[in-house]
Amino acid sequence: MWSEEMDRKIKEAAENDIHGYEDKSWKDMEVLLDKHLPQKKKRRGIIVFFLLAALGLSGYLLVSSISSSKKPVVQQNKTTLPASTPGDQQKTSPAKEITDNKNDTAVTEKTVTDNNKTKVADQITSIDQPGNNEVNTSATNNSIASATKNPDSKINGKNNTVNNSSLSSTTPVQSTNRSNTKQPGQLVKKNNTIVVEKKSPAKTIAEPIATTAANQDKEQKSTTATPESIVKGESIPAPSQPATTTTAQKKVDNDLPVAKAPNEPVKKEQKAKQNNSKFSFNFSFGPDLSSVGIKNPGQVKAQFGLGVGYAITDKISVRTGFFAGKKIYTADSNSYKVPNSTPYSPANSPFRIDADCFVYEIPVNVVYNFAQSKKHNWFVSAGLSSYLMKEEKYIYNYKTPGGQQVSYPKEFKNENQHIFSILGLSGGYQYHVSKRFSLLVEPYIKMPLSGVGHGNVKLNSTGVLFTATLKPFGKK
Amino acid sequence: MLLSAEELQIHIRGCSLNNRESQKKIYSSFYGYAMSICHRYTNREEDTSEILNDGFLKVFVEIYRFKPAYADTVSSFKGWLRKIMIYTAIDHFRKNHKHQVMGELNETYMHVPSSHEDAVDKISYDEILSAIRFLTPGYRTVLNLFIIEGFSHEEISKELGISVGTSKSNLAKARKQLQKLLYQQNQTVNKNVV
Repeated sequence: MWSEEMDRKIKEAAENDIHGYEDKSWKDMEVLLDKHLPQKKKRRGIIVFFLLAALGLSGYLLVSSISSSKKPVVQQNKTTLPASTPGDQQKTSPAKEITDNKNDTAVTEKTVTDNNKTKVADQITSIDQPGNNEVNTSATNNSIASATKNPDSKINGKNNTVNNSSLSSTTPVQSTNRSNTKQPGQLVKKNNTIVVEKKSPAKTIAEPIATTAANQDKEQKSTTATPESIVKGESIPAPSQPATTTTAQKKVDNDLPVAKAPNEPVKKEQKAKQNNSKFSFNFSFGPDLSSVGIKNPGQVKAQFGLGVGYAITDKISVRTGFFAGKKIYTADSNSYKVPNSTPYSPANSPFRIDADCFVYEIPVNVVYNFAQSKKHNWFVSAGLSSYLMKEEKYIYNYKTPGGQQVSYPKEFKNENQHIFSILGLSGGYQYHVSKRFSLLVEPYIKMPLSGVGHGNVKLNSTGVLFTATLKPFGKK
Repeated sequence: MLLSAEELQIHIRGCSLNNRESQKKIYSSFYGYAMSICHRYTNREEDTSEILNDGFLKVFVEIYRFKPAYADTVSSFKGWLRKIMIYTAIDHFRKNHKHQVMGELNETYMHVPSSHEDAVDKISYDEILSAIRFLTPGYRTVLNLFIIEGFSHEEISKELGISVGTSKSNLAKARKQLQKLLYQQNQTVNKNVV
């Protein structure tokens, strides 16, 4: 007969059954885990790496764009330098150096010797004048088209005797087109700077320059042409080929100054134009919803604003502006610091505070365009805003011990300003209607870094901004 | 070595995140305990390992749901692990030996003289467990569930998909067969001693 003792024995046997761990068993288990619970590849590191790389690249682009915006605009330079006496050292501004590279167009330093084949490339700035896009340079043996914009450029006295007459009569203009075909609507205006191509310390390689003057220096005539160092893709015909020169020549307005000074305002003007094209003006409007916490959403109100933006690089820009709008929300006494001036004691806290505030907002945002095409681009933005509380109307709602509900209004004007205390995050889409005009749609959220308004509430805002952007100085 | 309560909680969190190190730690710590359960349900080492690893896989898949039923985290986890291993063993039986549960009616039983009942005390745990492993799979499962795990016949019938009567019948047969095996073992030992 089976007894309960047997059952007990069996239970004890089971409880005292001991088995040792085997590593082989874990290997089999691991295979099973890899099959059913595969471990995800650690992408966090890669994500962090890419984030850091993106940040580093953005910073690099920002710094390089800022530093490049400070550099003077380098224009194509073409002036002819006559062969000067040996040993003449002519230096332009200290900022300019002689380049050995044929491709260099910056005027740096000129060394003139008997064997110098030095040519001065005319610094050319293009201005919009129809019909004048042909190259015309002229120089005498000892004349130098004072080409540099830089007032600090040092040119040997002899060589500084610019043949003003020749230059004024044949103010060189230059086009980038090697065949000197007219480009509609463009007149190339000449400003003279010096370009020297060095073969040896004692020599300079002269660039062929088209001349119309008969008294062009022989050395200049014999110079070999390296178009790359003078003008991109353009060779200047020799004086013996007046036909080509004539086709390439055109008299420029005699009033065009020859001295250094004209280069500066032209360069400045060009630089100013480039900088201006980066500016944009914005008009924005959209719905805004403010709330304290999630439980008590406020009312959706419209906000309007004007702004200005500046494109630091193709991808990074900054925007600021001025917005106005109402923020209507409710808060409870836990979220709102009730003033002691209410007729009820702080112990009898209002069960609800109704707020109606009119706010000026000044945001400063950095915008990053991460997906761009000719017509479309997507962007993200982050920045800080300042709230200027123009008018704050509060209604403190209390419940009396008798159960009645009473309200106590309170109003404040221009009492609270929160400078750069609101963190704004947004992202959106921009559609380029034209090169100057574009439309944006931009959902956003704004979170306070500190309390807002008289009640020091954590007032969050969200909404969508519809913006029209205009670049008044941009290219059509 | 068994983990402490704090270590166990840490590794449970790690297992929830599919951390291999935490999984290995829990596996190695509760390997012996789980093996003692699985060992009783099969007589083949391969099947034992299969039930063990399948059971631990279920543990690691569902470990994020584990919440200690009482203050002692280790005991709670052992109880939770035990249940998973038992049900994994039942699943294994249903997949491989279910037909044997129904087909045990023609088994003949050997009468074990009552005079040998006091030999129960002399039977070692190893002998009992070894004898249990030699039982027919159906008998073995019912005996494990009823006597060791404490399942009722209703629960056994529900888990194995059999009737309550069949569960009771299989239990009786399991006991008989176990007695026979233990008697035979005892007889063999006595002969060797002599």
